[in-house]
Amino acid sequence: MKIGWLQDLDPMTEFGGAQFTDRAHIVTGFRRGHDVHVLVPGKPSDPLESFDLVIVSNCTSVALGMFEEMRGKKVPFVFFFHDFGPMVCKYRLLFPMEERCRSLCYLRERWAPILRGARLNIWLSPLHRTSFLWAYPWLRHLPYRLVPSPVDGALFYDMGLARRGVLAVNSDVSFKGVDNLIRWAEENSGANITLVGGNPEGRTFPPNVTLVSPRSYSEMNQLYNEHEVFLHLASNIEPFGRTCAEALLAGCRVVGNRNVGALSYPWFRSAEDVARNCALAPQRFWEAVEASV
Amino acid sequence: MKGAPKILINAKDGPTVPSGYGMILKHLAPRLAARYGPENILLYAPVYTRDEVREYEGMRVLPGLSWDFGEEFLHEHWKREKPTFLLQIGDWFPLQTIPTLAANNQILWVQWAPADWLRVPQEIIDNILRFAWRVVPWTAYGQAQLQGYKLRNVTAPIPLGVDTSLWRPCDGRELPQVMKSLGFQEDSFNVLYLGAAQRRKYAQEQIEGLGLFRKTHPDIPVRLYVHTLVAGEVDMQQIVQFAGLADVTVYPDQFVMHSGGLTEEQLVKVFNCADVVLSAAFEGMGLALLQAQSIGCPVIGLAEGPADEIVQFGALCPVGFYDYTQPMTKPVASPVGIASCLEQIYNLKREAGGPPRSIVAREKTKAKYDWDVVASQWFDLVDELVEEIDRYSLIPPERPAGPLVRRAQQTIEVTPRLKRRQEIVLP
Repeated sequence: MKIGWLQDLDPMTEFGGAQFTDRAHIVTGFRRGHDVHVLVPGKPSDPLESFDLVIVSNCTSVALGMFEEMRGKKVPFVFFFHDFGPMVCKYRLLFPMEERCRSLCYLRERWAPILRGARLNIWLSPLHRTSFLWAYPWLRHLPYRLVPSPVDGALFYDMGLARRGVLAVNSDVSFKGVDNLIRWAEENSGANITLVGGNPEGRTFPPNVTLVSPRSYSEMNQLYNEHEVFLHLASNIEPFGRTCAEALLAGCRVVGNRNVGALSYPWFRSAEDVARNCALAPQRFWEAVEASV
Repeated sequence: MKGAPKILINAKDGPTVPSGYGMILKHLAPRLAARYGPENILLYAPVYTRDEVREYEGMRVLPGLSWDFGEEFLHEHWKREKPTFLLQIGDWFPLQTIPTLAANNQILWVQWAPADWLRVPQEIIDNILRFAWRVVPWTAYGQAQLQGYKLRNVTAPIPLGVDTSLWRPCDGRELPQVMKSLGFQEDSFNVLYLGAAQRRKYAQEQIEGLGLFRKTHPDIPVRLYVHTLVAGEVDMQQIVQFAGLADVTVYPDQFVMHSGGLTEEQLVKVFNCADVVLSAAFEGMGLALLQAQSIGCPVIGLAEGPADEIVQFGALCPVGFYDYTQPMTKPVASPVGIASCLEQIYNLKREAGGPPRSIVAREKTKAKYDWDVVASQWFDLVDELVEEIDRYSLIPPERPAGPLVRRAQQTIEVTPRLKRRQEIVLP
């Protein structure tokens, strides 16, 4: 099929969690014989009606008129949700799940007809889908798939190193759970916690927390392997949380909470199961997409 | 949004200062406090805080000394107090910090705005008012003006108010001491002029008009009371002298004026002694017009501007010319027109056999401009804004909501079953 892949940033050239995920799926799409075109709003592309299907991926800047155009020209589209924006929350990465989100919020009027028009909705985890149902309860009746982030088991594995202490990654801001981390550190004062991040909010951490600067993606497996426990106490719903999967594959004991999407999968119980399901993610993604057309 | 909104009100003068701004805070702020709780109304009136007052009727007065709006401290107050929105009252031309903060989504700013200049350059509108969450004009005239500048954030007008329970008619003849202090007599034609000694009030043309009236009616004993600080941008005494009125004009005690002026209660008595209030400058509203109408006293306003919305009893003076010496323009009253208006009012006095008064004007003013009526319009607007905050999530949530907090407290531990690296056969 000729597929249009709609993304804010070109996943074949840009760095970021969503782009990572999309790149893996797009490459698999090529291998399955699909002609995948990345569509970045504002950049020239083939006309919409030339595509057999459009996959709306991490896209907050697409004009609403484009959906009208797709419906008018009968171009089928599939939603592949990465976080919450713009359909559920204008803050994109942060969905407060308050009462007003499902009663007053203006987004519901704007996006309801568009969501109803999708051939398929793909979420990153059961929790991710649950959060959407908070704002759009009727979505439960529409076709969907749950596809985890494709984490590369060849990059994250147990190196057999000596492990010590607790690792937390990017839990250094409020909406990523820094308050939960601080509380856990205070309650577990005997644990030494390495926090990878920048402390942009200028928080004061307990003495058993050590801040270290961010690492490159290629250095992360080593970092996971140096620690016994990976701590991820999200304060807001995290659609997946690929660091939990990476850390588990790297041999860490993962301590998370019920706000982490990855942990809402029933199979997230062992490194083997995580490796298998994440590796199968692109295949399952395309099987679902192909069946929807 | 949970609970009542918290409103930071910024005007130049505090509620005990007998200026236009002061009266706005004096009458509106307590009504907002009664509705939303005094702990939710914060007053920031930098000129007022010279007196180191920190509390007014249960509302906190935030510190900060300035001869103007005190924008330099406003952001600090915003960050510390975390109000729902800023209500800024009055002149918006000089604002710099507030529009910048609003443009960067750091504050929600509602401007209660006069439209007291014509031909405002579009770039001033674009650099200032465009960033307001709402621009609330004082009058229908102001609304049309502001919408004419392609602003899309202009609401229906909410006027300034007047305390009609205080501004009640009483017979000036029963106030002989006050009459005497104003230089008024029962059989004279008693004209009250209010206006700061600022160029933009164009006092000269109005006083000239009275001078012209006196010249053309030498048999009518004219008396003038000029309620202002005489020395300012213009010299009021010189203006009066040039108009040939020095011998019939009285000024207030300048020490009293420097010390804060007359109280509102005292001003009511002054107004009640007048046969007419002369206030024909191009104003955003014209508080003196409202006050005079509330006691039923006739006024002379300017035909261009909002005066025709307010004046129920009196006369409107035609525009003599437009002052183009400044980039922005004001229409200025015609002295001949002033004289003609004074003739009309004098005839009313003659017919009435005493100070002309109108009960109809009072009743209409009360129905539209009493502070209770004005405050209820503010309540409606604030409620609408609060709903908009929720609907459009204009204030990012500070803390996760209940369900998320409960979920965060439920820990999940997952232990990898693999002890060392093993080849995981991938499909």
